[in-house]
Amino acid sequence: MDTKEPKKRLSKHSVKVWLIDETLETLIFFLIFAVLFYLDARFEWNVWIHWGILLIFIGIVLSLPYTFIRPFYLYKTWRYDVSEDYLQLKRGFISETYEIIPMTKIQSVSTQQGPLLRKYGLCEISVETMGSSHKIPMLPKEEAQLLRDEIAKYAKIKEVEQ
Amino acid sequence: MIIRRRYHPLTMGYQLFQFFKGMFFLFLFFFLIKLDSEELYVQIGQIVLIIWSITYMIYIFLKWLTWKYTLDDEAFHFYKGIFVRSVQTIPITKIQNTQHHKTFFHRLFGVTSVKFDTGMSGEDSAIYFQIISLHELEQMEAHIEQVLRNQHSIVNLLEEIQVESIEDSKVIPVRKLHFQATKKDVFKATFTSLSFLVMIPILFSLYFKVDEIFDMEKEVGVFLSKIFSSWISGLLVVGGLVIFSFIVGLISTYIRYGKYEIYSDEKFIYIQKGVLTEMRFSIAKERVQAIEIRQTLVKKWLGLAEVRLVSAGIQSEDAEKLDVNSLYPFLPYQRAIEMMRELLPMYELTSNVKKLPSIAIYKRMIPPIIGVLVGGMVAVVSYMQQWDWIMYGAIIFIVLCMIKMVVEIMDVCNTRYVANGSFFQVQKGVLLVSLFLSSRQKMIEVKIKRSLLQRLFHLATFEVANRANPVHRSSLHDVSFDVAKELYAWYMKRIDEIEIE
Repeated sequence: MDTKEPKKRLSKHSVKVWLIDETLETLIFFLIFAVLFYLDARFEWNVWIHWGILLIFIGIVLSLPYTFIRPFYLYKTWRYDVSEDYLQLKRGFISETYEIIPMTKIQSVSTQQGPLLRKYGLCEISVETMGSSHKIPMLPKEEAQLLRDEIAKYAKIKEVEQ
Repeated sequence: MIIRRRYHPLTMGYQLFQFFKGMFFLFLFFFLIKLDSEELYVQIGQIVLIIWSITYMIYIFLKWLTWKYTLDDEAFHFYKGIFVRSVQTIPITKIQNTQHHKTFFHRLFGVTSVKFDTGMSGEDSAIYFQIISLHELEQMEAHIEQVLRNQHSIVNLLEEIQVESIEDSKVIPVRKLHFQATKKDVFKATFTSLSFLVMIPILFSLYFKVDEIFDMEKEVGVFLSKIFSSWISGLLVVGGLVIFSFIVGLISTYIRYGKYEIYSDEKFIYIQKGVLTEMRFSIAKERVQAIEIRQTLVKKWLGLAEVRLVSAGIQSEDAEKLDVNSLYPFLPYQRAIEMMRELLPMYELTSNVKKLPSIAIYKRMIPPIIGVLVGGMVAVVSYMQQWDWIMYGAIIFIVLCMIKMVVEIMDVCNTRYVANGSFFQVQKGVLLVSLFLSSRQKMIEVKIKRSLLQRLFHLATFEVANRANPVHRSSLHDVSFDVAKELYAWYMKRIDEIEIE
């Protein structure tokens, strides 16, 4: 397998985009909790709710380092590859996943782009098979479109349904 | 042009019957119990109920009038909608399996219901006829089987050329009976499925339904205290209930598994069952995605097993509730294996299997050992501080961790796997032993996963996916990473075996 292990990587911008994305999400979280804490103080909510909010907040704060390290290792470990016969995906640093999907089992492939990804010219590819779906995040737009067309071309061939 | 057909007129009757069955308690409440009540909500309720019923009847009638279907050589076409019209086309070749379901209502009128599962995602993906005459169904199925038989692989084409002359004269394929449930089988099934306990939920649901209408609690309390005031009458009542529920269990088992028959011909498998509600399941052999042989602890002790056929068409809820895709669930183990060989000779089950590496045991021990250590510390601290409840909790936790250890060791020792030719076979489990068998042609993807702990021990999880609704995943935990990579490479060799359209 070693010779065939997937080699292609995500866009170099991906770390940056993920970090911006996480920062925005974190800010929104803080905002929500600020409102919650204010309401809690103002209306003197039940003790249980008070402690509940506090605990969730502490949990989120403690997970922050992980949230901001994750993009680096995601970029470092994400690999994919396409051949005439297979789509291969590999990802994960602490726990690792290798996936292999036969081209003939792929039913649809599409590219998506949110506002943040558009700004950096990135695209996300999703691949649907007969019942499962897979994503390759953060690819440069041209590369993503080429890849999409390539997958579509290979996936056009169908096995005799058994 | 093929004439667009209406659904069977009895469909209206059936839908009406279903409607009133569902609303039975509402009608009972508003038109029997509270009939003379002057309360406002009762009167509004009565009016709403009447208007609702009439609207529904009109809807059913219009639906019958406008919804139509046709069947040609390639596909079913459904013309739907009363105001907004739509046409749905479902190719016959997408049909994965067939389910007949004949309830009491159907038997009364000599009709049946049929569902052709397609395995496509989304609503309305199955072709469903609530009512269809037996004659029409026969024609329809003959047509579909013809199409499915003629579709296909190169091997089949060759075969067809050879038998073409026979094909023309349209011989009915010979069906072979593989299994028929006897009285002994039903008896065994009653014990194994614990269906003599079936009375308990029935009594409860009845009690609650009735309780909604009448206030039962008080009366029942008085009744119970009267009975249990004397030991003998209490014992008699309990004994009577046990015997009664056993008989009910026997009857309900008979109704469900009584007339069980498994047939097959060259290309199809047919499973027929049920006494009051007749069900029939049929599937083309080459559409079977995988086989699962399951044994619960009780079944293992009694030497019984259940063979399930994984089909892309069946909704998993149907599979669990109605056992549609199950060959008889209480087969003697050896017979189950034999029958599997008879029905699906292409599936190769081998006893030449591999075990997990013993290092897997150490890896599995780590979480429960940590659990025991932490639990022990908590127990000691709480003992010294005299926090009794926390101490008891910690002790229970330690015991659970130890049970977990035993189960994990048994699981590692019981796991067997092998990639044999183009087939992958895994047996695992302690409380529920399951044996999974599928070929790499049928697997739609595979996966290797490694958690941090698995990486430390150079182990991995190998997971395969098969078509089903939702996807059927089967995994082999804690095999060595090298073996997982070999299996991965083994899967990649599938390209040599598949046929391209």
